[in-house]
Amino acid sequence: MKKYLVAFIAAALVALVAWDTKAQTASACPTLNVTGLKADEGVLMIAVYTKSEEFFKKAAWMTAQKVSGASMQIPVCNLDVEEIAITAFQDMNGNQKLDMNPIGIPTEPYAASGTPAMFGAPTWKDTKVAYKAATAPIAVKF
Amino acid sequence: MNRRNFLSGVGSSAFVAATGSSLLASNGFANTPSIFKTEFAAAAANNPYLTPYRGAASDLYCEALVIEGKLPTELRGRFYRNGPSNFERGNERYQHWFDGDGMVQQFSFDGKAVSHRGRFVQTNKFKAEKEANQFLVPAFGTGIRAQMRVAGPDSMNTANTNAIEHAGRVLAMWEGGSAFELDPKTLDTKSAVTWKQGWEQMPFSAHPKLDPQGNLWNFGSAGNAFFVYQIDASGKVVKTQMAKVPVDRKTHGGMNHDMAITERFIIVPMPPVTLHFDLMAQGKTGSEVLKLHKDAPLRIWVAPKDDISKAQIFDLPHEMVFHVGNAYERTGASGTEIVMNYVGSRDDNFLAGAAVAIMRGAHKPAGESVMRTVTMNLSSGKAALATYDDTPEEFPRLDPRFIGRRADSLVTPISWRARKEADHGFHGLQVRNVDSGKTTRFDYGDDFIVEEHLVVARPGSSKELDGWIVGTAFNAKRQKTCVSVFDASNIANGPIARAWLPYWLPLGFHGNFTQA
Repeated sequence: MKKYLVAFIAAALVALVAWDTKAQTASACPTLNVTGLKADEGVLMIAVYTKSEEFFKKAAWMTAQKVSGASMQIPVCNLDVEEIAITAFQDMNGNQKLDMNPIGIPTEPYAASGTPAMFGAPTWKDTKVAYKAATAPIAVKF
Repeated sequence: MNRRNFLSGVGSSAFVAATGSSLLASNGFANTPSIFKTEFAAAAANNPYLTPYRGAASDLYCEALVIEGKLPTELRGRFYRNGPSNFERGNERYQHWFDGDGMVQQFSFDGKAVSHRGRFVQTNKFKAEKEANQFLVPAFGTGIRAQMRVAGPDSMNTANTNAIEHAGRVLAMWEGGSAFELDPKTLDTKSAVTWKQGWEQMPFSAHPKLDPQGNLWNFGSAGNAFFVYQIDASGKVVKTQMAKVPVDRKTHGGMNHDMAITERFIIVPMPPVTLHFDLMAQGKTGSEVLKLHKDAPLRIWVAPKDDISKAQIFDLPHEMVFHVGNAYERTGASGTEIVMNYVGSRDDNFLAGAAVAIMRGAHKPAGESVMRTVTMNLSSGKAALATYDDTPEEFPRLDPRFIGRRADSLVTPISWRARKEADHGFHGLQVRNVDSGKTTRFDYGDDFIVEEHLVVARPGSSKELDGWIVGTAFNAKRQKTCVSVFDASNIANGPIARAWLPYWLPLGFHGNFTQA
């Protein structure tokens, strides 16, 4: 439980760091296919991790983009790594953090790449996916 | 207290702990053919008393129940009940009675006739599992491997414990998460209720109490964090509070089930019970998972309604407590005292034994569960405990106009004799004078399993027990459920009317009557 709370608190804190709000567009960049969003509401906040030990602590790249439609495609460029892990949340009230109720349960939608455990917080192991060798869009399902 | 401190104090509550661990990741034990399902089916084929534990196959409706006797013309309104009512999906069967999906039963009385509607609460869990024809999320007492995103307690919420109509909406309540709102006319499920922005999925317990002004008081708990809700007669939240409770989470916090109110206080018994989800994930059930710590006290939390941070704690000998009867304040030479009745059990035979065994069609003794009176002196901090007798009873209720005030009587289903075939479940009904201990009883007989009974006041009257006692019972011989109506001042003569459904209902937990 504590781990889970800490993870989400960390994510919330990371989210407070400055955001790269420009979508990157280089054509060779692998693309995230983010689905299941509440259409046209709030801001999609994405953190990309490249190392197990930095997961939920220090993102290699982050972006915040106004939600348009129920799905969004977001290129992730110029990372010199084989694997990445993505966590995301939909910031419904624009306060740039993942809101939680008083017992630490997220009150805004959240998601991750890979096959995050159905139960509990995402881990590096569950969410890491191929980056350089990615042949299809990387799925991030809300 | 700042939020970070608060968060660090939270976490051993059953449902919250469950959402935060990944311990049910891949053992897959629940995917093997269920021994509970095969054993229950074999036992139920030969034991007519087990029928209600089959669960209901679908929603139910009956326009006119068959009436025996004469219904009081003044008895009008809607009698709600809730209880675990679906236990099986695919090859699986739940391993604890408390796990079943909630179904709200509504009996409508118009003074001449009674109709019935029973509908499953359409929780997210219920809808998804019905569609998939398999369980997808862990339950209170069954380690199901999560196959659907568990995004908090409401992902596992069965809304199966109690139902009350308040401010024009029916609340189907659980313990670890939100209440679900249903339409009183159709019992259509609307949504989970969030009482306050940012309080989505917060624990809202299943035993709220109505004060004389129509305020609904409730608490919720997660580990050693307590939350209190005050909702006014129009359904608006007047105030929410939160506080830490000084208990050792190694021995307490697994299940804080019921509460009492007095004029100025809110009272919650905290039995020394823990739930071990790590063991459940390894396929263990019963007493291995649900533990009563016999070396730790039953702690009673007594908090001023207007400021729960000023709570006092009273320690009593170890005891499992589900339900309180009533509480009231009295002031005398020794200062202010709170007197409270509750049903206690020095063992966990029911929670960890009988409620598991029944799901495989087996019988285990349910334990003592006897009525006690605790007197707590707010000045001295001392508590005195008294017990009436050793006859097992449960589900205490009183005349609702006297909740939080001194009342003479408590009504309980009770068993004072052994039964040949159905030694589980109660065979009788009792009204006890809480001061003298004197009892009046009615024996339903060997064919019945008697459920919680409520007091409904005669309109216009202010005298305690001037009205009726109304409750359900399952008849094993007829394989049908009935609602009995007693003159509340004289139950010994038996019911003055009985309304029979053409079908049986799953045994329920709790309910409430809303007078028309």
